[in-house]
Amino acid sequence: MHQSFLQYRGKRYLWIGLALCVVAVLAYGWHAPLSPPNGGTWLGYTLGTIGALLILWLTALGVRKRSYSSTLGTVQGWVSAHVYLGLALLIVATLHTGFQFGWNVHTLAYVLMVFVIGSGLFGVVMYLRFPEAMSSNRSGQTRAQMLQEIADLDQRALRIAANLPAPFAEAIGSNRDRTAVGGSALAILRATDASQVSLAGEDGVVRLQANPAQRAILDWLGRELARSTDAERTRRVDELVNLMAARRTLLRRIVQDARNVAWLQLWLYVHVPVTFALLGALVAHVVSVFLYW
Amino acid sequence: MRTSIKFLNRGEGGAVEVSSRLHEGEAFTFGRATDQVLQTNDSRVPLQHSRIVASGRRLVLRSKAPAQAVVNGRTTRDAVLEVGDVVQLGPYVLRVLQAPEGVDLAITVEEDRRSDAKASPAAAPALDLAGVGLRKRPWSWALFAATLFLGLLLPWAARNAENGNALLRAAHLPSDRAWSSGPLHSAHAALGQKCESCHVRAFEQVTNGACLDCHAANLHQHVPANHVSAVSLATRECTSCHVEHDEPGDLVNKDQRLCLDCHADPKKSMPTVQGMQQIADFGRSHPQFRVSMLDGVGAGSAQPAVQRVLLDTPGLRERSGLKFPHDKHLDAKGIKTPDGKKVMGCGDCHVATRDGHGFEPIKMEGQCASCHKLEFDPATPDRTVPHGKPAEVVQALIDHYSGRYLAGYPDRQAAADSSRTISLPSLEASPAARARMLGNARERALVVAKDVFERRMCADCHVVERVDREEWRVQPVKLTQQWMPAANFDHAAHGTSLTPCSTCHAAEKSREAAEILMPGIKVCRDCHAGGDTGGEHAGKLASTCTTCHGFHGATNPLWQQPAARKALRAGL
Repeated sequence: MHQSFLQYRGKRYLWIGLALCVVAVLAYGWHAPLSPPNGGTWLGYTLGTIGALLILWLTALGVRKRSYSSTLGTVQGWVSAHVYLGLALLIVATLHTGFQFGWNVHTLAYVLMVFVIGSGLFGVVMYLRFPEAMSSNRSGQTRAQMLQEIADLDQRALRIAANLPAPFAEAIGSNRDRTAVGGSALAILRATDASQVSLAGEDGVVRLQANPAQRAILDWLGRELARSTDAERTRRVDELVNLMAARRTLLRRIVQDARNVAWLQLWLYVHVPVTFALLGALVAHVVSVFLYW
Repeated sequence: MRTSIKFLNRGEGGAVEVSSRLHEGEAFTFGRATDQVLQTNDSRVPLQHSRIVASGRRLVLRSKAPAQAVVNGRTTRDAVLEVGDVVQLGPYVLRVLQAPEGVDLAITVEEDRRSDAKASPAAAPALDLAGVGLRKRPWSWALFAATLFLGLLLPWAARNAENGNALLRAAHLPSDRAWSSGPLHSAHAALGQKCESCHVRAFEQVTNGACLDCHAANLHQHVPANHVSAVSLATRECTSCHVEHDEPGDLVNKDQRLCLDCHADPKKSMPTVQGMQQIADFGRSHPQFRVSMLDGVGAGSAQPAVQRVLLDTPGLRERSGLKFPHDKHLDAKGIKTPDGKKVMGCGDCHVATRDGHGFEPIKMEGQCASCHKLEFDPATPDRTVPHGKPAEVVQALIDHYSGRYLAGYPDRQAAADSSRTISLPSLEASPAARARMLGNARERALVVAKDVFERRMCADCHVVERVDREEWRVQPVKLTQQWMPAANFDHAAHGTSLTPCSTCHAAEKSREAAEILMPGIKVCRDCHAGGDTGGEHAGKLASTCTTCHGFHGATNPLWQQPAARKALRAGL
């Protein structure tokens, strides 16, 4: 049975992470250094070392998940530990600072770490929220399959339109060519449909119109259907309506799927680059502290 | 339900290959799943696409949404099939045949050649973040390089170049100041731009040498070179007590554990130092105070020695050479003064110093002389003897009376009780008469001197000893000015209307100057606890070692003096 990475092995790493936090907080409360609490006391160095090692290990998830032949624990176990120990890092590193912050490379490293942990937490929320919606939206199909199906629908519609007056072929063809979903991160994330279609008006003039969710072409086909007096023509137009309605459903599912996937991936575009910024700042932090001891 | 399926496979030349099979099951099913009757690997086809069921005599086609079938050219999900219908299911074209006896459904299945051209849309829309140009890897490395370069490499390189970091700061680029983990103490604020003034060598802790670069000149103004704490400076780091870049920033570490490192067990930590006492906390284990009292006044040495004695020492008395009853001066009914009766207070004599910590020295001229006038001749009330050496006093008296006798003015008192009369002005007198006059004047002066020294004047306050007829010895008064030089006590902070002087000093009942009026530790402990304010000490003021003591041996170290602090801040 499927088990969430959050539930891995009876939340083993949740307890380990909590234990680490409790020990760190108790030690901080008990510790009464001669100077104000800071990263340079023995506890400060201890927490700092734990924090730095945690950061390196957390970063190593990116390596571990790519080494498919590795037997060093399961990737699911790694992810579970990554999430819980990453959250524990927030406590460990905060105590390491002694709550002393400033405009310096040390606080920069801390802030970047908070960003990384925050984006990771966002990612966890996305992973809890989207996969279910994603598979119910896909209903067993891949996006490539849905796209292929749209292509088939378009092909069939074009064949039907070939037996109808020219504006139909124009409408179906331009509808296929001017379908515009995705294209930019914002459009994907907002599931925007910026499709257009060129349709002939009452006066016979073809105009380009916005066609979100195939609304314009369906309206147009509907009008054509109502106007049709010829049985054969009616049957063909009706078939086009059916095809375009199916196309709308598919397109909506594709856009929705792209949105789901994008939200599932978006946090990583912050999480990973900021992690590397953090690594740079961490090196600067550790080296500079001893450079100007 | 029995289904007869004929697969038609058209060859290149148009020849048709037929393969038949008969299927028995609940329905005829089509889809990608492996349990389907008609199965395809076409990825566009869902696992379950459509099914045909015999319902009575009718054949019903149902497609599972979102799949759709095309029946006779019409897209549908629901159809009743007749013989001769053409049904398109995914890549297959089915034709419904007349079913033979015992068979519910007979169909031919042929692959739809036209759908072989699985034409993808002209341009597949960009529906992935990676597809629209979002990249992780280049950003990752760029940001890694940026933080490492700006946060470490650039300031480091600039540090090794002349004026490098100053140039960076001028260009608003991160310099080595970005490494500063917190603000400097205000006394060191001027150093904020020059990290290298303290951090002289890379990867080396700040050395005492760096501190002494500025502080060598004034360090021994407050730390005697032979003082134990001065010696310890050579073996300890200034930075172990004076920590910078910390918040809240305080250059003087007031934590008493720092002191107790050595003072908790001085025999072990300072074996060469004699007489150092164990201490753990002011409230619980501080020894009784010792006073630094001037002594040896009676021995006649010019420079009296300083004696450190416990306040508890039985029979402890100050030997200052002064006779002074505090009780008489502080009499609530008042005391006789030249201006009439007056009630005196402590402040009439003990004048606070400007910093308010202590008091100006007690001087005859300043504090006593306004009442204790040194007049000796009622005939000339404005003439006084000098407050100086006894011989000068005797000489002043002889001079005074010689003048008077030679001037021929009769001494009223002398005239009354003696036959020696002066009848002629001295200038007109013969030498013999003048010699007699001077002899008489000297006699008179010595009589007055005896009176002045032993009865009415000097002896009031001083111990006077007559050496011979013409010579007296007056013990000098050496008052202890600073009783507790090892403690930094601020009178201004303590003397309030709620705590008059008598709270600590029992002067009103002191009959002799020899009584020591310095309060013992018990008096302090009425209000002050040590670092530990728990238990019986609850509600008292927490007072650590540095509340009273300065480490570097001074009661009022240079760096705490306002003028010096100002200079330190301005200059350095």
